[in-house]
Amino acid sequence: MPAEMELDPDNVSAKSSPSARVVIPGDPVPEIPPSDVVILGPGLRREGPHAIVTRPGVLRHKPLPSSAEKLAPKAIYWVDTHAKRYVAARGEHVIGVILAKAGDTFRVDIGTSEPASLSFMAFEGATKKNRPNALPGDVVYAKLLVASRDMEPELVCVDAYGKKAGMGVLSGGGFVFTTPLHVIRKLLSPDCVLLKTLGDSIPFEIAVGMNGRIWVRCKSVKETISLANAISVAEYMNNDEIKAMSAKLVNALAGF
Amino acid sequence: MPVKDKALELRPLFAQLGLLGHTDGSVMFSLGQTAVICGVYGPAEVKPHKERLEGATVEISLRPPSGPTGLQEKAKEAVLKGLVESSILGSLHPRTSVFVSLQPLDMDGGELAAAVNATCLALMDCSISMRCLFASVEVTRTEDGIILLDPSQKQATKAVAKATFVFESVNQDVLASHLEGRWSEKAFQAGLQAALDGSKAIFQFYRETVKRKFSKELMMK
Amino acid sequence: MRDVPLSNLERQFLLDALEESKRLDGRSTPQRRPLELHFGRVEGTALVSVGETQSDHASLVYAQASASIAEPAVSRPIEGMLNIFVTYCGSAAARFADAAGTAGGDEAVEVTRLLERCLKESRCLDLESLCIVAEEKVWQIRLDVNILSAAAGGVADAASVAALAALAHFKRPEIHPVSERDPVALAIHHYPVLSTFAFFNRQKSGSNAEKIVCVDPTWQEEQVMAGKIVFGVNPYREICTLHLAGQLLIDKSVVLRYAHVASQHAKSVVDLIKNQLHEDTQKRLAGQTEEIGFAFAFKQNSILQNVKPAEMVSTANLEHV
Repeated sequence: MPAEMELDPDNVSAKSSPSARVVIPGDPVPEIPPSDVVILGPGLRREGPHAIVTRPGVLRHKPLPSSAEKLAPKAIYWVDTHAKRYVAARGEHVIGVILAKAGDTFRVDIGTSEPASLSFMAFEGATKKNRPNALPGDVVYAKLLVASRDMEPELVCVDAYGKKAGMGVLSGGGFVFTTPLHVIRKLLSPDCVLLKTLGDSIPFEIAVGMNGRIWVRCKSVKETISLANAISVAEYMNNDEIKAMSAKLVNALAGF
Repeated sequence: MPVKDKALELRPLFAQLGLLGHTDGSVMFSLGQTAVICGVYGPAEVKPHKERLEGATVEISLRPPSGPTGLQEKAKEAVLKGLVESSILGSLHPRTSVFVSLQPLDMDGGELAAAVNATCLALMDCSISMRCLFASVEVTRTEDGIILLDPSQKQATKAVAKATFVFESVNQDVLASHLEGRWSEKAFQAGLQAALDGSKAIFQFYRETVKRKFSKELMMK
Repeated sequence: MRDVPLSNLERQFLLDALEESKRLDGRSTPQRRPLELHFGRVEGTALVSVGETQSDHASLVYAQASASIAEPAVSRPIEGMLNIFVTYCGSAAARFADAAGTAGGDEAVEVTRLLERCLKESRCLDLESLCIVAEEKVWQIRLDVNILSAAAGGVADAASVAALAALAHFKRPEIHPVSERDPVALAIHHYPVLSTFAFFNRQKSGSNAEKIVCVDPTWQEEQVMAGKIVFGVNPYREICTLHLAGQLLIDKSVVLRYAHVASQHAKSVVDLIKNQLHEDTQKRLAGQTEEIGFAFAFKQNSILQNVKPAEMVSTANLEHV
């Protein structure tokens, strides 16, 4: 059983935000001053004049820059949750697996309740005559153009300027693995040192999908597997532990 | 007649979250020796003929420890379906399914209550949006009028009537009840009160379980 | 529900890694995943986990043995019967999440047949000792094997350990005209255990070249393999079951070589069953009823676990009835 999962009650540091607390569905949120206008983020929902918690996790908030406008929101409140199942959100980059071709579109699995559609024309330089070179089973890195609870998600592999911007079919080897969604958010947060620390010693290419899937490619199979494992075990580590783990990993790969 | 010493004792509780790694949420839960494993997928794919435009389709699968699935299991599935539908915010996920699979491992009294509590814990582990939580306890009544809270099979041998109550966490309303035998109004009220107090302890257990799960996350920022 | 599809990239990476004798979960090719066995409170119940629980690479199987009285088969009037039922629970993998309960389809049939060949046709259970009255009444042993988690593969191997453990742990009632006796254990002659080996073709050389062999393949490895052999072997190196699947041409020396490996695994499984059984018996004799049962199977100091001892519930307004 990984050491990071053990309970460590003596190590509670003062770093946690003073008003952050663990909440469960149905809890009221008395922290929100009743007269303020606030934004409710994930895990919170409005019921009449009050907000209630809808998902278990850590309740956090952040003040927003003050504005002269009368109804400008003063703060944003949200719940940091641990989940594995992805729910599509517009604008997010995801990694999908092509399931089939249907007419002029690909049906792509991105882990949501429905497969997403990806049009042949949504690739850089694609025309009616020039079709993208993608087969069922291929992995694509794409962006969600349409994502709502009532509609089938739609993906594109080009940005607003028609350029690929890193998206498209991922080829040339590499490995795809899944992690819970909070690990993805942690990986992409500016305070997390994992990718930077590992990148200082092992050259690698990475594509991170907000749907919990990550693609990595290093020069050798050994490095790729080690990198994938390093990302998976960093789930419960803080920055110091991450630095120590990366150092150990680099040594192991160098053969010490 | 005095109430017996152990009459109002809730047996030890145990929960292990995330036991089945590939599911969206899972738990192994035990109430005394009654143990059940529950796995949840959701909001996930739904078959076209079952999809609902207003919200998620809830499906429950409860298997007995041995033998084929019978009417008892189907009856429990129906109770659980109602509970899950009332507590999750299904309207956030139309045309999806929430699939709950339960496998009891050991049946030592309070099986329906254990299945209900395991379902709630697994739904929390899955982190699907819910408006409230639910918890359940079984009570029995003996011939001489003694109310027993959460009895084991051995303790329930003298029972002439049994009742399982399910409460929700926000207003402590009754979400479901399953009665066997005869209950006078007075006995029913007493049983209901005992079950309510028992369920409060279970809600407290849920809160502690979630606090433990997020203890490292809380320390991080 | 659909499983997460295995992409071409993953298949290729898996094969590339195997060329270098590396497996995705860090194991070496002859290495098996760790096996854990727990007995339940009721006699004849066993829970087996293969691999580290909670990761994506673990399988979980639950087996329960029970007995009832029935008429013997006409062709075998003095023998009891053993019936094996394998079901995949809805939580086993996304592909089994169906309330209608197809109970597993092809995979369940394969595992059922493997267990039947391994346990029934090998005659490891003494069926004559299950006779009560010849031609009229015999004990019918029912073995339910529930696959709780199959997403990681290795189900047949785990199921055979769970089935054997359940049979070894089970005690059938003893009927005696004079008095009632304690339940009695089943008479098991030998312990055959299933062991799966997956074969992969080398990418560069032709199909005649020596193949790469992995013991205890994961689900992904099974999707990519060229074929597999499943052995049912007991610790005395007697082969009870041999099952080949896939597109494979194998030399007989290969079969014998891996049968030896399977036999070593069988020996360690039997040791495990015997040790756990001994511990369980000691606890029951010492009256430590709180330590028996599945709730204690997974006790560890993890943040995902919570335990609360028995507590008195306050009932201020409770009236007597």
